[in-house]
This record gives sequence, structure tokens and C-alpha cells, in this order.
Amino acid sequence: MVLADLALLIGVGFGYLWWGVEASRVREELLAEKARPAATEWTARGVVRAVLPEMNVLVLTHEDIAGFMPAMTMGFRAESPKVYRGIGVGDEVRFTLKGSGSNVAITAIEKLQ
Amino acid sequence: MVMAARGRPSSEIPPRLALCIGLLVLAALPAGVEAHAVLVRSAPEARASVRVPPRRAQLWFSERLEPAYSTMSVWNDRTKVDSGDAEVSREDARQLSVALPPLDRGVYVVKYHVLSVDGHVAEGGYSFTVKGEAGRK
Amino acid sequence: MTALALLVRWAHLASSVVLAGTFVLLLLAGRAARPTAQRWERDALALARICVLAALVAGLGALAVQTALLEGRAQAALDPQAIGRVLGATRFGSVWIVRQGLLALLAAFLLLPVSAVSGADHMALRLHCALLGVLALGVTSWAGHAGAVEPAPLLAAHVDGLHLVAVAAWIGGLLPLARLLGMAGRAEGADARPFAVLAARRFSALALACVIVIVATGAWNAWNQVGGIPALVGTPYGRLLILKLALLGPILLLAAINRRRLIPALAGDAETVGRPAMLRLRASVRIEMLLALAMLALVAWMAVTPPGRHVQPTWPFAVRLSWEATASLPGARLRVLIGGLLLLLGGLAVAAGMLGARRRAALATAAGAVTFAAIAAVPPLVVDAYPTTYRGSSVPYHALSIATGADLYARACVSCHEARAHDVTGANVARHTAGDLFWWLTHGIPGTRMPGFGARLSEEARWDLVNFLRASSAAEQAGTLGPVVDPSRARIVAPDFSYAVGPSPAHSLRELRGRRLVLLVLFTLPESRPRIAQIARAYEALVVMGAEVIAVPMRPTRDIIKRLGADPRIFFPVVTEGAPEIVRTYGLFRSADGRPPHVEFLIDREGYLRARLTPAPGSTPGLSPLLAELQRLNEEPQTAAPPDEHVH
Repeated sequence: MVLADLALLIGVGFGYLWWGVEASRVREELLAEKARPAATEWTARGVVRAVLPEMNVLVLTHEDIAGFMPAMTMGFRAESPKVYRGIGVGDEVRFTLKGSGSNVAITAIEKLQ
Repeated sequence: MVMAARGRPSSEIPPRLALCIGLLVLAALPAGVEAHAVLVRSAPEARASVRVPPRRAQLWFSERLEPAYSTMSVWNDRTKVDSGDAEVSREDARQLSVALPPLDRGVYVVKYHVLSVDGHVAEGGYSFTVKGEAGRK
Repeated sequence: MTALALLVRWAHLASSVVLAGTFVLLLLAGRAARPTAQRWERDALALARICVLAALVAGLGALAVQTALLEGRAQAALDPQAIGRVLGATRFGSVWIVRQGLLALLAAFLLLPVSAVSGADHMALRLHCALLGVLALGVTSWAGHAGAVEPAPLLAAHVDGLHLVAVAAWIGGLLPLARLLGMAGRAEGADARPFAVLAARRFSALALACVIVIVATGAWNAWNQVGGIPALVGTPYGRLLILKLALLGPILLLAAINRRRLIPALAGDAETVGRPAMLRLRASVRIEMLLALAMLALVAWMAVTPPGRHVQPTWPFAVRLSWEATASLPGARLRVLIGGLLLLLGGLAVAAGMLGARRRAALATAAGAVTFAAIAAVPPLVVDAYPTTYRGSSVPYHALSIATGADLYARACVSCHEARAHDVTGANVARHTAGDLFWWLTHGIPGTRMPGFGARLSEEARWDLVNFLRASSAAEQAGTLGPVVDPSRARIVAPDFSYAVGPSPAHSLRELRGRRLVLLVLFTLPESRPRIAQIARAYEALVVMGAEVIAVPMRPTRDIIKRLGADPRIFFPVVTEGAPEIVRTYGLFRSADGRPPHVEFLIDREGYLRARLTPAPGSTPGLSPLLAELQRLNEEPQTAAPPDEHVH
């Protein structure tokens, strides 16, 4: 009986160790997956809240940008001032973002309707 | 009850009586087997009338859901319009959502069929309206 | 299907309870030395074998039933693929695997030749079996209602597991105990009497401890799953609970008789002493056990019934007691207070009677006091009640519903009632439940000209009207709401609303609950322009103070953001979707004359309206008073419970 208990304890111990090793491996893989940089392109709709030409930045209240950020009011750098020519506060727009990580810029923007 | 047991205890009568009472009590009750997880909130909301078509339909329930047996769909006049990838959120197991293609104006019905972690099934639905945008692409 | 599911659940539960209880009793009884006691031990182990087999088979049955239920077809019960899916992908499946595994291990232990093992291992084996049995029973709570309690399912499941284990240790031991008492009570079983007496005494002590645990955990479970008197008397789950308690009463009575009368009577050295008492005890234990098995059937039934908290209760009585109702009757509250005092005195008399010698006199005094208390206190508290009295609205208290209700009111009610709903709301709404209003709207009020609209308006429409009336009544309360937060004021629920800015998805006020203070600004152009500019410039400071600003145009146009202009920059939500309903609803909360049109509401983190600011048109007072109020709300401890979450 006592022997059986000992065996059980050893078994559970090994199982726990294995689980711990496996879990940390999976976590590392996940982190590696996340850290991999890749230039990606997203398209979303929003409304222009401010144009800051001195900083080359547009502030947009935008919808969910799938895989990048949830809906919020946020400033984005424009690739060049040409991109937002003719765009003003209150315009509803569809815009394209390109980049990776925190380094993204608006590459195209068009008025809806 | 204490008295009844003098000498050879007559176990025939009291147990049967008790059993009968128990069964009678059970038979007298209504069987109400229905939903356990309750819909707490939804987006778009029930009966909402939205100008901008939503990209997702989201539901929040009172209890955690079993992803394998929880599904939802969005319908427009007997045509299923959602993308078919209804999923329970990984961050909050009480949230179920499905992606939607660009919707035209019209009335849409959201239907759900979910299993909560206590092993019970709940069903339901509601409708919302897309008012539509003139000249939308 | 339901009957089968119930039967399987009951078999599952009963066999597990008896299994765990048998081993607990075997542990308590200790090792048997005399032949009769050893015979009983073998019988008990045989019972355990039957139970473990029954539990395993019932487990298979439960799996089949659950699979059929989840797949929505009866044939799925035998489909290996479907069964695999249920096992692999649901919590029910995980718990099932663990439980059956524990039971299988227990079965393996039971197959060991018991006589072959030595002294210490003998008890160790019992202990292992008891632990396995108790664990196999306890884990089931994780797959039941307790495991789904939010926000702390783990705690609820542990409490429920403890409840189950205590039940098993007590109820489950009754069957083998009755057997032991029967065997020892016979003339030829006299050698086992000291053994039986010792087992009965130890069992009795354990049972007392179990009862205490059961009552405590049971009360906690009941609060989690039922939550109140209306759900207790008005839902199937609550009524099952009442029945369960009704069965528990006689069981406890029997247990008390056993403990106080029968077990002491077992005392004595001679082998003949205590024999009639032993048989009496056996009879009592048997009845206790049968009642307990019936109770387990109720438990199985409750497991497939939605908990009362999630179900709309149907109030079964024509009256209810209401403290609010006494507000309008002069002197009523005094009567109630005197009654309450008498009740307290009665309670004290009972306590004194229990302790003192003159029990009868004390009890008579207490009965008198309670009767007088009832006569004095109850009548003013009694108000009419209806089956729907405690129903919550099936339509959320939301601007969409309130605006719809306002339209309905204008169409269907104004011909008899006043336009602003004063005659309806002033006297009635605050003092009656939403369910009362719903009943009157549906069935009319006998003896008055109020007709029932049950046939003319849908259920949804009637709840819309109720929501509108509640909002109107709340708006009346808000009549004196000023620009300064008053912590002692009765809380007014801020109706929920949804809003969107441009093409981004809609948000709701409720999403901000618990996270941000909200400054809701209803504005008109061009009058509000200076004030909006002022808020826009201070937006950063407001955000730092934990506030969000939601600006709603009272004359909504699609280009409202454009019309507000680029200077100063406005980064808070300016609502372009949902504004009409918000204006309609929060317009009710403006001062009676609706002047000035520009109005701001301060909503706290729990979702209550706390202040109403009406900066005069043209003038722009500094923002420091507003910031002071925000700070006051930030420093306030959370006292009020957030408004009801449920949308049934």
C-alpha cells in the first residue's frame, strides 16, 4: 500500500514536471510568434478628428483594425502630406495603414460617399 | 416513529410510505428545463437601427460558454449572411461573436444556441436593422 | 428524455453518496475483531462494490444522455465520435473523465483481497477508498450550477463540493449503519454490540459536524442560486428548494432524536442492554435514509432546473409586504416599529425560555408578543401584489426602449393621462415594482377606467412603456438635482444608451461602468460652442481625472463634427449615431421648462446620475467647479450597488 502511494506520488511528480516544461516551451513559442516582425497592411474606416500638418499626423476615431488595434481615437503618421490633401475634420474616410509593430503610417485615405 | 420499531422492526410500511410520498411530491412538480446562460448584452443591440453596418455581431452571456457547442448566426430573410466563424472569445468565455461581411440595408436576425459550462443549452435571438448608407461601396 | 436524465442523475448521485459514506463509516468504525462485525464489514464492502459499479454505469448513462442532448438527436448517445467530442471539448467531459477515473481506481482497490493486508495497510486502504469516493463526488460540483457562478466559479464550486461531501459523510453512512445496528440488535449478533455502539456514537458526532457544514454551505449556495424570497417561492428551482428543506426538517428531527434519546440509551455493559434501543435506532436511521434518498431525487431535479436567480419569478400571493408603502400612511411607520420591537422582545423571551427553567411561561409570553407584533406591524406593510410583481423587465432600461415607450405613451395613453405622465408617475411608479406596472398595463386596473393592453400591445411594447414610466418617475426625482454631488441623495439610475462616432462600431454607456466617470453633454449649435470649446481644451485634464466626455447634439445632423470645426481640436466622442434616442431620454431629466437647452449630466462609475449642470447660455463658467465634483466622485467609496445587470 505504502509502495503504491510512493509510486503514485512519483508519477504525479513526473507528470507535473513534464507539464511545467511543456507549458514553458509553448509560452516561448507563442512569444516568438508574436515578436516576429512583418510589414502588414490594414484597411479600416473612421472619422477625421484633427489634422496636424506640422507633425504630419491625422487623428482618427476608427473602427476595429483587425489584428492591430481595437476601435479608438488615435493619431497616425501620414506617409506624406499628399496623402491627406483635401481631407478635413469631420470627414468619414476609409484609410490604409502599412508598417509593423509601432512603426505604421497611413499610405492612402479616401472619403466615404 | 420511535415506537414503531419495538420488537422486530416492521420496515415494510414506513419506507414504502416515504417512497410514495417522495414520488408523489416529484410527480406534483412541473418540469421546467430551459435556458441557464442568460443573454446580458449584445452589439448591435436588439432592435437597434444602425447607419453603419457592423463588422461583427457580439453577444455577452451571464455564464461561461463551451466553445465546441456554442454557435450563433445572422440571417436576412432566411439567408445566412455571417461568415460562419462564430467563436467564443479567448479572453472572456462569456462572449460569443461572429464576423459579418459588408451588410446591405435591411432587417437582420441574430440567432444563438449556446452551451454553458454547467452543461445546459440555451437558445434565442433578436433582430436589428441596417439603415444603409447612400452610395456606400 | 427528461425522466431518463433525472433517473440517471439520481442513480449517479445516490450511488456516489452511499459509496463515499460507506467508507467514511468503515473508517469511523475501525477494524472489526468479532465474527458478526466482520460479517458486517464484508457486507459493507459488498455494498460498496455494488455502489461503485452503479456509479460507473450511471456515469456511462449520464454521458450518453448528455451527448444525445448536446447533439440534439437520440442516436448520438451511441455514436463514438459524438461521445468523443463531448468528452474532449466540454467541462462536463473533463469532469466525467476525472470522476470515472477515480471511481475505476476505487473499484481496483475494492478488488484487492482485503483479508490479506496487514493492520496499518487495512486502515490505509479504507482511507484511500474514502478519499477516492469523496473526491469523485466532490469534483462533480465543478460541472454543475456552482461551477458557472460568476464572478467566482471556483469558490462557489468548492463550497458546493464541500456541501456534497458533508452530505455524503452523513447521509451515505446511514444505509450501512442501519445494517450494522440490525445485525448487532439480533440475539445472535450480540458480540458486535460494543463495536456497533462505538460506531454509532462516532457517526453521531460526525453527523452533527456535517449538519453544521451542510447548513452553512447550503445557505451560501442558496443565496448564489436563488438570491431572494420572490425567486424562492416564485420559480420551479426555488420551490424545489422549499420541498428539499421540507424533507430536511423531519430528517433533522430524527437525527436529533437519535442523538439525544436513542444513542445515550445504548449505554450499558451487558450484552443484552441496549438491544431494544439499538433496533429502535435502526428503524429511525432507516426512515432517515429513505427520506434522504427522496431528497437526493430533488437535488437531481434541481441540477437540471435553471437556478432561480436566472428565471423570472411568478409571485404566488395576492399581497406582499412593502416598507415603501408605509410612507403615505400617517402613523404607519410607528406601528411597524412598535411591532418590530415587540417581535424582538418575543425573540428574547424565547431565548430566555430556552435557557431558564420556566420554559412554558416564557414560550407563552413569546407567543403573545409575536401575535401582537403581527397584529400591529403587518397590516400597514401589506400591499397588493400580482404574479408579475417581481418580474424584471425583459427589455433593458435603455434609451432605445424609453424613446419607443415615449412614442407609445403619446399614442395610447395621453388621451386619458397627462402628457408628461405626472398623474401616472407621481403617486405610483416609485412605490410599485416594474412588474406591478406591467400587470396593470396588461390586465388593466379593476374599478378604474384603466383598460388592459395585453391584447393590443406586444409584451416588448408594454415593457417599453414601463421603462418610459420608470424614466419619467426618475426624472421627477431628478427635479432637484443640482450641479453639486450630494452623497446622501437617493441614487437615480442613468438609462443606458448606445452611441457611435462616424463609421466606428457602437459603444454603450454600460461599457464605461466601473471604469470611467461620464460627463454627458447635450448641446445645441451655435449656443453651446463656447462651452464645448472650453471642455475640448480641458479634455486632457478631464481624462486624467478619470472622466470621459460624450457630446450629444440635440439637433442631430450627419456633419455635426464638421460643423463643430477644427479649432479647438475635439477628441472626445461626438455622437453621430443614436443621438435622437439619447436626447429623447435624457431630455426627460432636464428641468421642467426645458431651459436652457444645453445641459450636462455627471454619471458616476456605478452608472448613477449624480449631478446636473446647466451653464447659462453665453456665459462660460470656469471648469473648476466641474473638476471639484469629479474629484469628489473619485474620492467617494463605492457604496451603492450597480444597477441590475440582467436582461431576461
